[in-house]
Amino acid sequence: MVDVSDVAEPVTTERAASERPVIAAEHVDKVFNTRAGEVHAVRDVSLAVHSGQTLGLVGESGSGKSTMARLLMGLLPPTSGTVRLDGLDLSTVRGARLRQLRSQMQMVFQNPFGSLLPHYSAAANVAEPLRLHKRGDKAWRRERAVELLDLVGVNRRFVDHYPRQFSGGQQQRIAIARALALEPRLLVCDEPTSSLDVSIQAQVLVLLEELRSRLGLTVVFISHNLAVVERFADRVTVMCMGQVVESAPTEALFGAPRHPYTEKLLAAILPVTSDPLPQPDISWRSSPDQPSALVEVAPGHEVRES
Amino acid sequence: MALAEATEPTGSIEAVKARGHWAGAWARFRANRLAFISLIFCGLLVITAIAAPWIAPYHFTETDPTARLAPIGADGHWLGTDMLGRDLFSRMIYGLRTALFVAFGAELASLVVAIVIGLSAGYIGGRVDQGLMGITDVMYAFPSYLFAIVLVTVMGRSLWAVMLAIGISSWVTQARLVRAQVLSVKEREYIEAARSMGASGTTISFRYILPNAVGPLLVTTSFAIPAAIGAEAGLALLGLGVQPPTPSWGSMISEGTSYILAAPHLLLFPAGMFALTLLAFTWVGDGVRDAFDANGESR
Repeated sequence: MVDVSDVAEPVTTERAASERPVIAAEHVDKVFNTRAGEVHAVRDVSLAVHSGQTLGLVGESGSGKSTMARLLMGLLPPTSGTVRLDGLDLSTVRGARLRQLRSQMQMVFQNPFGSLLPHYSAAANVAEPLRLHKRGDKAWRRERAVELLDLVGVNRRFVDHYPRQFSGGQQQRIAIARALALEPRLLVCDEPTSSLDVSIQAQVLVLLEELRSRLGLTVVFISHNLAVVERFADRVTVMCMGQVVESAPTEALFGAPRHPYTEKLLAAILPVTSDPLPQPDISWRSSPDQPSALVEVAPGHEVRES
Repeated sequence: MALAEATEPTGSIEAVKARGHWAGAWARFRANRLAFISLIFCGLLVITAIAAPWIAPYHFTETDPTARLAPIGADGHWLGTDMLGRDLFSRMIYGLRTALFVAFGAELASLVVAIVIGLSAGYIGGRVDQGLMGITDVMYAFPSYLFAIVLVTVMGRSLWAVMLAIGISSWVTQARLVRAQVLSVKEREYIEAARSMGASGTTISFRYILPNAVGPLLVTTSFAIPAAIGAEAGLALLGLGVQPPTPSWGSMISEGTSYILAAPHLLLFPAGMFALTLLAFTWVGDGVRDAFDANGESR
C-alpha cells in the first residue's frame, strides 16, 4: 500500500493534490424511495480527501450531509456514481471483503449514546471492533481498549460501566475510542459535537484535533457549525439541498465566499441572533431542468453558478 | 447521569463496580418474596424430577398385589396405592418428570425455532419477512389442540410426539415477539454503528439485537412453561398424552375420578400437586415479568 517514494520526499501541497485520495466520491447521486415519493438526497456530488487532510462538510439539516457520510462509509449504496476508498470502487466489494475493508474507515456518530451498544460496557464497546476483526486475544483486546479509553480521557476506573452511566461528553469519547481502535486511515465524523453541551463540545473538538495530528488521520468532518469547521478543516465543501454549492480551502471560503448561500451561512455564525438559518430558496434554488455547473474561480475554489 | 465524573476518587486503582442489566432484574426478582419462594419450590421440583429414579421408592410399573387401593400411610406406601397396587408417591414423582420433561423440552425447542424465525424475519425483512410471517399467521390461526391430536395420532403417544404437539403451538407467539423486538431495535443507531465497524448480519442479529429480546422472551417463556405443563395434563386427560404405563398427572387425575369415593387420595394428590406446581411456575413468571418491567426503558 505505502509508496516508498512518498516516504522519501517531503510531501508538498501540490504533490498531495496529485496523489490518490484516501476517499473520493465521483458524481454521486442518492435517491430514496419513500412512501411520499422519491427524495433526491444527494445530487452529483464529487469530492476527494487526501491523506492527512480534513474535509469539512457543511450545510443545514436536510442538505444531504449525513447521507453523504453514509455513502462515503459504504453504508448506503449510491444510486449512481462511485465512491472510492484508496482507488477501490466500494460498490464492487461486498460481503466479508467489504467488512474487512471497513477496518480502514470508521465513523463517529452524532448521538453517542445511540451509537454505543447499550448492553456492553465501555471497554467491551471499544474492544468490539477488535473482536470483529479478530485482532489479538481477549486479554490483549481489553488492555488495548483500556489504553484507548485512557487516550481519549476516560478514567480507567470506569471502563466497566455501561454507556448509560456516562455523561454525553464521556459517551462521545468512548465512541471516538471505538472508532480509533482499528487504527483506521479515514475517520468520518457526522456532527460529533452537535448533541453535546456547549462546554463539552470544545473538549471533544480539542480531543479530535489532538488525535488527528498525533495519529495522522484523514478526516471528513460534517457539521452545521461553521465556527467548528473553520477551526478544524483544511478544506470546506458547502452543501445545499443535496448539491455542492461551493468548495474551497478553508481560508479562501471563509475569507472570500463566492456563493450567495455560503455568504448567508457565514453571516449567520458570529452574532447570536434570533434569525433562523438562511433559507436556501430565498437566495438560490437549483432547478433540476437546468443543471448549473461548478466553476473553478480560483485554484481549488469551486462555486456553483447561480 | 454523570456518575463517572461525580464519583470521588477513592485512591484505589481498582475499577468501580458497575451494576449490569441482569443484576438489577435479579435484585428486583429476589425482593419479590412470593416469586423467590416459588422459584425455590420450582427448583426443588426440577431436582426431584431429575433424580426421580433415586428418590421414588418404587418403579412406576411395580405393583403390590397385596395392597390395592391402599389408603394413605399404608405399610411401605406413604400415599397409598392405586387400583393396581402401584405406589402413588412414586407415580407422582415420575408424573412430575414427564410433565417437566415435556414442558421444558417443548419450550426450549419452540424458543430455538422462534428465535431463528423471528430474527430472520425481522432482520432480513422484505420477502423473507412476508413468507415467514405468513407461515406464522397460518400456524396461529390453526387450533393447537387439533394439531396435537393429528400429531399424536400420526406419531403415536410417545414423549416426543407430545412434546412436539405442545411446542408447535407455542413458538408462534414467541417468534412474533422476537420479530417485534428486532424491528424496534433494527433502526437504532448502534446497529448502523456496528455495521460500520464491519459486523456481519449474523453477529448483529445474535450479539446486538437478540440480547434486547432476552428479557421479554424470558417473561413469555416463564409463563409458557406452566401452560405447557397444563397442556400435557390436558392431552393426557383426553387420552392423547404419553402412553401408559408412563405416568402423567393428567391420566392419574382421570383415573382418580373413577375411585373418588373408594380412594379419594388417588384424585386429590395428583390434582393438588398439579395445581401447586402450576401456581408456583406462574408466580415465578409473574416475578420475572415484574423484574423486567421495572427496568422499562433503561434497558
